Amino acid sequence: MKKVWVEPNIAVQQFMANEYVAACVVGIIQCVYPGNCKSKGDNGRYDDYNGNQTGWYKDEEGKLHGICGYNALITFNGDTASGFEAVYGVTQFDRPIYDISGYEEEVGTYYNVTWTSKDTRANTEYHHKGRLMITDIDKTRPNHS
Amino acid sequence: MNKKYCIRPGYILREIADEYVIIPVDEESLITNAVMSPNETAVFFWQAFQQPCTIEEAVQKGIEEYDATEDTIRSAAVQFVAESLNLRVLEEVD
Repeated sequence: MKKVWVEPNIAVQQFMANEYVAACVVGIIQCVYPGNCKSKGDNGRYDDYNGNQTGWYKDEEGKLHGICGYNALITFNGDTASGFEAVYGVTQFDRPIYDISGYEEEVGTYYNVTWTSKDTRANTEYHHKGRLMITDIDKTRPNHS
Repeated sequence: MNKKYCIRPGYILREIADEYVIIPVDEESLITNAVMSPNETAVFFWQAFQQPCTIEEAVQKGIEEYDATEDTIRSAAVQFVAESLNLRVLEEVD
């Protein structure tokens, strides 16, 4: 016996993921407390870092800052908030940046952002405060940074 | 009408509690974060095109299985292929 014919139909049910997936954040991060530039602690002054560290600078919280005034192009996971420093445009894989906080997952410029970096060769950790310019939020590549 | 079509990889058809569901698992699929619920005849065409198959071959299988005219089944097969190609669910194969 043949089956009863009905017009073929496929219903599509969209659903939202019930787990948070972090977007890939792309931006430039720059510390406001680098070695011997003029901008120490002044959030209005950037981009004058000459790469010559003359010493260490302690901020008002007693945190130590060193060579960190270069723009660091970073891509990081919104969850792990981690990337790498860059010197003359070269990613320093021995200098990871992590614990980035004080920003929103939106394109824009954020001041008083804090993060931590580590000189893995010297096994020394540094704390930073500065500017994060987020240039792109790639939500199509969640958890891929 | 001699072109062969096949369901693209990246879709899983499962029968769950007497109901069929199709789950897109390929990141390149145009249908994402979704569950597709085909009715019985859609499942028939889906299964027919899981191996390379022409529209005519699918129609002949339909005639054997369903109480419907050849024209009705052919019209449905042509529409199934057209819509599935648009959604990149189906692809033409050699």
